[in-house]
Amino acid sequence: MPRPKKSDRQKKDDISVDLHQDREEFLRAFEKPTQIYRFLRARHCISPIFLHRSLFYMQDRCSRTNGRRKLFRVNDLLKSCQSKLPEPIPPHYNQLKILVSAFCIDPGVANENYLQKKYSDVETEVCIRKSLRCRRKDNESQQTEDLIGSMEVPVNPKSSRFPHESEAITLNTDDMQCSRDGQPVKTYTLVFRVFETQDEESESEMESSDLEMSDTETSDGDGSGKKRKREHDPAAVSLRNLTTGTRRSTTNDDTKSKDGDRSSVASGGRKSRRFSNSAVPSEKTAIYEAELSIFSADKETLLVDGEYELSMTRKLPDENDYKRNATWEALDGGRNIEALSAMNNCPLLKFSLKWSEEGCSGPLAGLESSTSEPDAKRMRRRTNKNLGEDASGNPASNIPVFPVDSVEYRKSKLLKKSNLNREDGNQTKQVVFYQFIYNSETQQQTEARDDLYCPWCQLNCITLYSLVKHLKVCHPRFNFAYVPQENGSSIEVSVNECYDSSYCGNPQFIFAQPGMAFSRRGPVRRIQVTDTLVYRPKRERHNLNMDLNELLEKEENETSPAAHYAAGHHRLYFHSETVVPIRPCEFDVDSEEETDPEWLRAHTTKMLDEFTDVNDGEKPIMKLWNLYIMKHSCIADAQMLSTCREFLNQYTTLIVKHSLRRNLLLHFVTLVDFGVLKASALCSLMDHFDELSAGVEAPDQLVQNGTHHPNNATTSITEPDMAAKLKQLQEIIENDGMQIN
Amino acid sequence: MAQSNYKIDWNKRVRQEYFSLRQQKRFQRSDKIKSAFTTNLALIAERLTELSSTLPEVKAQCVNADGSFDDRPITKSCVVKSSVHAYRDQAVPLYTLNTVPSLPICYSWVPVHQNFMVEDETILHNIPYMGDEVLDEDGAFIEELIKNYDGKVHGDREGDFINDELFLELVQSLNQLNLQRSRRPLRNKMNDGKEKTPDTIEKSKESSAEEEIDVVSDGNKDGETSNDPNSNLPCHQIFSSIADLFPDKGSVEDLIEKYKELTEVSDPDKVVPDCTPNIDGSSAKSVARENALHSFHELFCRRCYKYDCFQHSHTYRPPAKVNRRKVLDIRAPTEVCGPNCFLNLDGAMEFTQFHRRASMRHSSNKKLQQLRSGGGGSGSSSGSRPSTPTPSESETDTTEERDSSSLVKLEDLPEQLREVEWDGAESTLFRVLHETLLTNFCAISKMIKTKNCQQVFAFALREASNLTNQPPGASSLNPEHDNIEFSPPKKKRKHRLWSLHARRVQQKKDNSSSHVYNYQPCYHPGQPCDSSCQCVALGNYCEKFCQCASDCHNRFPGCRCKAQCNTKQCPCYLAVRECDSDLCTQCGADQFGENAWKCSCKNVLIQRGLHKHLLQAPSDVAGWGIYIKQDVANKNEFISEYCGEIISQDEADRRGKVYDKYMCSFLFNLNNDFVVDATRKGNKIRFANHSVNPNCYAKVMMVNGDHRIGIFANRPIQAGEELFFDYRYSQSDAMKYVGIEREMEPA
Repeated sequence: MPRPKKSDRQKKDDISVDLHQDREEFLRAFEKPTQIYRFLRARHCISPIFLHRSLFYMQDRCSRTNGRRKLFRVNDLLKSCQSKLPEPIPPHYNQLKILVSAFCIDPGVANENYLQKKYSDVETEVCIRKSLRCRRKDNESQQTEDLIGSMEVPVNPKSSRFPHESEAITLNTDDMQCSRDGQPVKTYTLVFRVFETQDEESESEMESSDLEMSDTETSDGDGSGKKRKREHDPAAVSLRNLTTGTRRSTTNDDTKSKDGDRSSVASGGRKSRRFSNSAVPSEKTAIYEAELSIFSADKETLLVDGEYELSMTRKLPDENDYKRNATWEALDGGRNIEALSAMNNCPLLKFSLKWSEEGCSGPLAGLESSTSEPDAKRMRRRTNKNLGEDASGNPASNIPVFPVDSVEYRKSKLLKKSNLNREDGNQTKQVVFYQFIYNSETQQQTEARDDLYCPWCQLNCITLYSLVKHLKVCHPRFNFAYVPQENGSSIEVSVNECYDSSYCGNPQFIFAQPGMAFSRRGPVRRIQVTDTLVYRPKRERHNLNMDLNELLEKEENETSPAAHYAAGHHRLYFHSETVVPIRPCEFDVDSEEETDPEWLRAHTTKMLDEFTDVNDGEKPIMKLWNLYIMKHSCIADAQMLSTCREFLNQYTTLIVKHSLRRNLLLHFVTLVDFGVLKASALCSLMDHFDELSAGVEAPDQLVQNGTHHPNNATTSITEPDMAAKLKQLQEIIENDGMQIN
Repeated sequence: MAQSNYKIDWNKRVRQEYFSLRQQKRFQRSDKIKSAFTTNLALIAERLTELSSTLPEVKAQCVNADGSFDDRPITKSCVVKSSVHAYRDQAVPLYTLNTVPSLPICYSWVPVHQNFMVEDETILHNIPYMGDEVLDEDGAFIEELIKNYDGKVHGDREGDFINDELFLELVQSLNQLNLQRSRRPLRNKMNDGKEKTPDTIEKSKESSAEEEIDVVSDGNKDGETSNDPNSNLPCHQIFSSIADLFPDKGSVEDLIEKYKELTEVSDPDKVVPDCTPNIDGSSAKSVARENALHSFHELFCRRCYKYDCFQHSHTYRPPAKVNRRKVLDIRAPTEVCGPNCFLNLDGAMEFTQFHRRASMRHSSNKKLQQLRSGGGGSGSSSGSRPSTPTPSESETDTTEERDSSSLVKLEDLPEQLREVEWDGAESTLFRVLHETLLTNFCAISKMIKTKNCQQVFAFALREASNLTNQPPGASSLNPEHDNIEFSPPKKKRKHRLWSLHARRVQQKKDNSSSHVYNYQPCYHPGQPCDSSCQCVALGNYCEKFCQCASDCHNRFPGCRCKAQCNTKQCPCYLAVRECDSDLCTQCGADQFGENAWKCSCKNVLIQRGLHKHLLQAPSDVAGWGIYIKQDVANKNEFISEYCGEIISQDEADRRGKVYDKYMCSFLFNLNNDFVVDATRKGNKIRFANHSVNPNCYAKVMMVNGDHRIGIFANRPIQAGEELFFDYRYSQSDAMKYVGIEREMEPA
């Protein structure tokens, strides 16, 4: 199955000790990052990011155009929804139509690849197996198998060709419900078998229309020849091992199928489906088999209409298959992924099931299948390795075993282009050599692949350019260097020593643990962070021609590979006084804008209060003035007049209430004495004050009375009154100071 | 009773009384602490409620708005299995939370936006704790530290400590005892001991009045009458015993003096002699101008425009009497202000006319004097009273009035005007305003508000006649410092100043003395700013705060740039000064408020506080760091001012010892006299770390007479970068600004 690896040294001296040591070193170098990328990949399967579509270097993967937007009308929405509504379901079905559409072999699985090369079509046989309930315990349950039909199924079909309804194998289920021969039938099971037909290789060289790929098409034959040689190289670690998510023990087929079994049980959600290893050895040519039970024990129909993918189990060991001695011990996380990838390790048989009434018109069904599939959005699982196959145009395939937790929306129109590429790739058998350089660049292992999948995350990159670009940008733990070769292309892989795996997300997210950062409860502000992934080769005249030259080694020397810089506010800030994290909504407030912190206000008043020889009229004015100046800083003599005016605007009421006019006057005279204020300004200020105070009721008849009655001027206030008032004033000053900010 | 026995008895008694009082004090103190604690608690609770009430108003996003984990991917699940089969397994999804990095240590500090002058600490406030290791191993350090403070540690000297308050109470309670004793001499000591409650002063006075005869008969005191100031003095024995007990507090006479002083102060009935009664109060008295303005004059800071500011309180001076011409720009009224205007009176017109002429004459005299003496220094004609002569302005000159008999006299005025009664506040106000508003009686009456124009005029005449009998108080100006009236045209003079100035700047640079001293406004009446002037001596320019003439040759003339003043073309920039808003008008440094956009000057940012927004976060280097929020586009852009406490160099040495031990110092040399310490008070820039390759630099600038530390960009800085500056000055800068190179530890 996996292609073993070859190292130059191994070729020279075939000493097993060296081999072992070499392998150890290789593992040491590449294991950890690979495991990490595996994990990330698995996580990505669970909650995907639809990034690949919009990457400029992944243009082929972009599955949308905005063409339809022009035609979009709001009024059409209802109509389109209505058209999507399912047809009314006929009440009773007694016919099951089975339409096998494709047999998919993972191109990543090397030893199965040859099958694909060998055969363009395989024969699929559908049987029904009845297992009868047995009376005696010691007897094994009796089983009978009836052939229902067989059909030719294309292997890895390239187009979205869908077999016509007429090709469907029809199963009449009328007689299934009742028991036969008095013996109750325990289960009915559909058995699918795939046979190799003895075709010669059907690789026909089709002319390629894709000029861009011309340079990669070269010397395909050489590549494959090499590959075959390498297959016999033992004791090598396969890239396949390296890069798939599953834990691979030294498997033979039995254990593998068990894996599959277990995983299906573990993950079987709504519909219980069993893949069981058939005990009966079948004919020589039947190489894959799988079964599917139709009814459960209590006669409930387990199968519903829909597209199915069934993982097939190999019956006979391939002669190319040998036990692998290289294993990766998976991390703990790998266990979860095993379930996910179980489906991906085996070839898949794709078929659709349809219940119908007898004599139901075929065309209707055909119409249905054609309308439901190509244009409408299809929900598909992103699979591990057969992403490519899926993309390459198999009709809607629903793997019911897994809850549909990761979806990808895709339209089939655009797939054509990728299919084209794919075809091209298939035809030319583009070979990519991964050269793993390690042990401080003294050792090297080479691994060849003839597809353009990212070995770490199984992303189908479609073109070589995209692949290398993807590797460089998305896998910064490695250094990749592209080297064109005559017989293909080679990518040198080494571990990036500069990579520091520090957290480079928004620091706010760490602080605001769950919830806020990803809150969708309403708009929240975020601090903008500019993350710069510095990988900046000189862009050639835009990438229209997708030139591989730009990925050559020489440019790699100019820029450090994929260094990560964060510019902007890439950290969590704290309030300087409380050391509480600054939330994004507080980000713009500068605590230093406040020029009169509370303690300073309190201190100012306290300092003045401490004077014993400053009288009770002077103190409040001084305090008022000090607090005002502190807040509205005054830095020049020229500013004084306007400052005083504003001071009056703010405090006239207070001053009048506490009858401090004369003290105010003295204050202004002081300013004049110090040369800060002009005498004329003094006059205008007092005028201003009198104007303002005219509107304010004086608390007593003090001062404000007519100018001709001097006697009653200052006599009305008694001393205790004054003291109480001053106390009140002090409070007001304090309060006022607080309110100002 | 034998004299010797009696003496011993007193000593014992004093000791007894002293300790009981101290006990009492201790109780009082603990009570005080308790009550302070509870009030603080109440205050906190109050704040909290206030805060919670204002919280909804603030647009805040709640940290834990949604407690759900819906949006997070489930990666694992956690299952609890029970061995008892009756219970089902329980499974919950397991969410992984990120680790939150721990924060660097931080000590609390207080934000200030301006430097804050503090006095030297004479006692060690606390013995710094630096971990047990230091305590164990390095006892010598603590010892040395305590020695720096002369062994004084806060709260240490309680044992034989006696302060004024305690002294007063001790004397009083002993006196009480003495009186009781003299009344009931047969009482034994035990009973005496019970009555040791200190009495209030009044009570002691009462009793002393009651027992006066007893005291007299006791013979310890000489017979005093109630008029005698010593009537309330306790007997001599008490003081001598106390003096015995506390020999360090001085002799018996000292103690008696002190006691007298203290009782005087604490007497609430006595008005503090310095304190002028409240002019707005009922007890306002008619006082001289200086008394009325005494508090204002004493406390006003010419530089901060505040009363009793935190920065310059040690340098206050009463207002300068020079350069008043610019300020006193009120003209004598020519228009009648109303029906009661003094101009309507006979002779008032002549009065004002005369003053105008007098001032003219005076100014021409002045000019002659100046021509003779060559510089306006020595023209001190003791007879002529000072004036501020401007041809267009009129002013009062009360002494001149006497010379002319033709002028209107008080007797000439109508009876009802003369008889008007002026209360204390009004007459005080008149004296205050008369000097400011001169003979503009209309304006004065408007200010006084309760007297009309004619009444004011009459009062002015009365005052003038009174003045002849008493020496003039408030109005003693320094005629020497009057302005040069007819100076060469302004521009020319400025030019001269400019060339002079440029030379001086050059000299300063060349001068080997690299020390920079703190500026203090100079005050040397009657002397031009020569070598005796402290500004000149210390190598500072005279500022507008100096009390020298405004054309003093040592004054910095300001710049006349029309650009941004951020190159060495600008003399202010060259002299490491910020532009003075009152001197530099061309660059727009005088534009404020709404017109601030007109200010093209970039050399005013420290005084205007136009700092950049800084953000605090854990540093990439050490401890905390400070980060800038916005991009800084250019080199030399102002970032922030390094604020803190201003302490003397000695204090900095003492504090620095502790800081060095902590390996964390926020000391920053300001000039030869002072150091800025941002440990206790400061602003955010204090978190800037040291780097040998910094993106900022510090520069001490003269800003309106104060040295202030500006932090400027060394290069363009991106938003979010951490700020660093080199804590040491570069060699050349050190020569310029700082004499003593001080070690600074990375904060």
